Amino acid sequence: MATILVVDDILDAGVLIKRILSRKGHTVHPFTEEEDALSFARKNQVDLAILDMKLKKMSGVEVLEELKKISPDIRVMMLTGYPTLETARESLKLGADEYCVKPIDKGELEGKVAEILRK
Amino acid sequence: MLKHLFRHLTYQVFSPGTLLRNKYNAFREVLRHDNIALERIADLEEIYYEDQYADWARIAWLCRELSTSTRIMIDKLQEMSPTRYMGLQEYHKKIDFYIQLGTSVPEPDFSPPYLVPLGEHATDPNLTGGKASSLARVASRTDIPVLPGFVVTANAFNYFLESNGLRERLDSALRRIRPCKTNQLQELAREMEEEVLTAPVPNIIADELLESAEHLLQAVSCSGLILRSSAVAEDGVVSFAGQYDSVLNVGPENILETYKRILAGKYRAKALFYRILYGLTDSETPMAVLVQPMLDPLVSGVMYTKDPGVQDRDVLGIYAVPGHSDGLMDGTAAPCTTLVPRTGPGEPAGEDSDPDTRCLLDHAQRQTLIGLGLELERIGQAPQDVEWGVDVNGRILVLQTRPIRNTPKSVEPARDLQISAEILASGGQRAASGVASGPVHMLNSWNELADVPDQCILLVPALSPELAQVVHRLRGVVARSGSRASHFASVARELGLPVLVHPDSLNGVLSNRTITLDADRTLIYDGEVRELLQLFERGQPGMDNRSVHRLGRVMERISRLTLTDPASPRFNPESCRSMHDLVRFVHEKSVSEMFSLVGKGGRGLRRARQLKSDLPISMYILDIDDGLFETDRDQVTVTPEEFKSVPMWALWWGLSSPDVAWDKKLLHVDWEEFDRISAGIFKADSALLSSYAVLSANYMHLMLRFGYHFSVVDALCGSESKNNYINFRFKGGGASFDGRLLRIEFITRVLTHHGFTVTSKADLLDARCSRDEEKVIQKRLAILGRLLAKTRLLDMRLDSTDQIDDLVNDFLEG
Repeated sequence: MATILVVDDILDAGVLIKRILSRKGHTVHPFTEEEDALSFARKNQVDLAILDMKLKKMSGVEVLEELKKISPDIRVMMLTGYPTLETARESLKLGADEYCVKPIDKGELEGKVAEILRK
Repeated sequence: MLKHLFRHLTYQVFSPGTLLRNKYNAFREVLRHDNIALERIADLEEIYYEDQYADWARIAWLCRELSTSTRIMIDKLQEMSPTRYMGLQEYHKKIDFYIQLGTSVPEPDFSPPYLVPLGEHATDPNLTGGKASSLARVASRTDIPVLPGFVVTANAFNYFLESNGLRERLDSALRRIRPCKTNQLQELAREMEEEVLTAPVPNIIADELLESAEHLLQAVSCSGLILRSSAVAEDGVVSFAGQYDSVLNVGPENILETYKRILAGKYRAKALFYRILYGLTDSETPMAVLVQPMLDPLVSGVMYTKDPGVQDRDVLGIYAVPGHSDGLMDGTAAPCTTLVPRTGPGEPAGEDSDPDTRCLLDHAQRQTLIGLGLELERIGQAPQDVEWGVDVNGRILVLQTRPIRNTPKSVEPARDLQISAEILASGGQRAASGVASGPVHMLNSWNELADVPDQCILLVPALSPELAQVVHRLRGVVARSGSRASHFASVARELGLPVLVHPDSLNGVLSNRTITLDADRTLIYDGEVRELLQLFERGQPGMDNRSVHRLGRVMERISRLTLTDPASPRFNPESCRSMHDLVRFVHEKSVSEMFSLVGKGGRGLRRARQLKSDLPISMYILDIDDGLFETDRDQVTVTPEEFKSVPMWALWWGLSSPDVAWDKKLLHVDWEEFDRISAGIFKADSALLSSYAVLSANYMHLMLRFGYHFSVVDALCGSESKNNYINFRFKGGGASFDGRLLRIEFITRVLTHHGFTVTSKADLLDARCSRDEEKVIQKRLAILGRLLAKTRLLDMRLDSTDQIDDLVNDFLEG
């Protein structure tokens, strides 16, 4: 089972993801502050990060770039309600495994996470 | 959204007839776009599953059209019912985004530099194209002699298109190309070439080009220039061998026209088809042009550092002709050949003991050439296909170098394989490896390319690059002249298409006779030699179409249908995973919106006219669009003779069938409602208790109230079979529950017999059929009408299952 980090400026969104993925046996840590998430990633082994695109200080793409510097093997799923082709191409270029668009339901989220962790 | 809701509520309160008409109009739009969307899905599926070649411009356009039609369907469904289906737009946006991400190509770069000298700055293949960039690498990183020159960049080409607004015009032609139609391909190709040739070269490029050309001519003091195509992706994953132009002896006065001619060559039929065949997009293969001084070679030719024509051992092959090598490339000249065995990727083992006696190169030149080849192989990190020339001073110059593509390994037939088929011809030279069987087609003129039949073995006078545009129809080629150093041989090797060059083979063989061509062993057999074909099947690489791969990545977002069961709790917007799901969902929901078109109280029927007929039915008719023949509009009544609506007419035909006896004294209204609300106060033919029909020319929504049961028939019946459907619901009755169930069983059996899908729950029955021809729908509506007439009071008379068998038989015979 995986350790998953969720960064979303809305706490409820992170908590919801935690509720869904915890049931699948994963350990999920939701964050609303990108700095907190990055320092968590520096100290702990994280298998997967789920990043929203609109965050408080940085963009999801910037957090992705930082996370890849901390741990090049980390898997990343971008999850946004405001998709653009530019951020999608940029994220995939920087090594994101998936670029997912909200709304996303329980089944789709579970499926995508399982798919990324299998890679 | 709010706009829809406000309008909806306003109409509902003030003008219910308008609401009904709007709902119907929105429904018609849903059906229209349902058709378009399903067509687009089918087009894309054809490209994907049946390997139909299509330009990426077509694929991207089909995706956009699909997305637009789906969005309109959602809009229209929300017009029909503004408060339901709120999340649909969001799911559409999401799926649309995934498809766009998979199908959009990055914007072309049209920023400077537009010209770069052939040196270190020209080594980026995305800027200067395959040919120029590999030559620039040789010029800047080795001592190998290369002619000087400069490159008009790919960005200059992009700027040329942009400044003339050509991208959109080219895309509109590209998306109409169906490569299977050779004539249409040629016509569109001419159209596009014309667009390019008539557009002016922007000054910023023209000035720089003319100035640099003058400088080059002065610097090397030669009479003219040579302009060569150097497209991005050329010589990369695929070779584009011979598909694009080179123009010799260009003077300064012709340079702009020649530049455009080479750009236009990108849209010549053979080059277009070749590009589409490999699934490369037009915008990712922009055309750079290499400009060099004209060389008048004494001897020129091709060198393969690992000759693909010799498969049993490693050999370096040199093919030489006097003067220019055009004849060698287009397959008309026979070169003299030198083969040098090699021991491995390093050094050659020495010169062939028996070099071609006509060889045009002396020993020292051959040694120099071999040395150059090995160095090019080293820096290119792969075996190379090198074009070279010898200038007046006897110096060998490299004109072009590109990696040799992997070629399929020929299959060695097992030694004990006995082939009994008659050998029609043997000998000649293999130009591309492989075994194939098919009927012979003789091509006498290049004008007859459009008539080349599918899956034939083509017999041609020479291995011309023109053949590339029909390559998808060929199983093999036998040419009277040409060599494996020709461009088409290179194309054929990429595709695994066997090609044999034989000066007099197949003389006298009749067209359409089936033969088996074994290019590896240079044999032609009569008939189909199964044993040999089976052996070869394992080695066949097949064409690898990159657009099909790319399309594959988004295909599940386009066509995979996961919403199949409208009764499932997963039949909701959240479960839509593809455009097809959305289309299915909206269609289903719009039909059910129409099914509940008018509330039970008859709301929305204020302008309806009362039906006067021989049947004792109280019914009101609302014509929303051409459902009645033109009569006096102020009349408050209407007769069945005025029905213009096809479904209504058909149903009435059955309902008024002469074999059903009606009790004229018993007016058929909603007796339950009559009992509940009136206790005799209302008149029995009041609109509140009556049946009604909403009609258009090919649509009918009918609510029949007979006694204690009601039925709804919603049907579309027109010339477009795809749109046609009947939805029928039947409920209730005045008899005991068992009596009602027996009647449901009777109806189920009759309707199932006539092709309806029937589901029932207690005394509620739903029957549907769809996508049938107009005549079939009419016939079924007539049956439904007769069935409704027959079953009016049937439940009162039923008390055992045995009666059902007789009744069903009676009805079906009647």
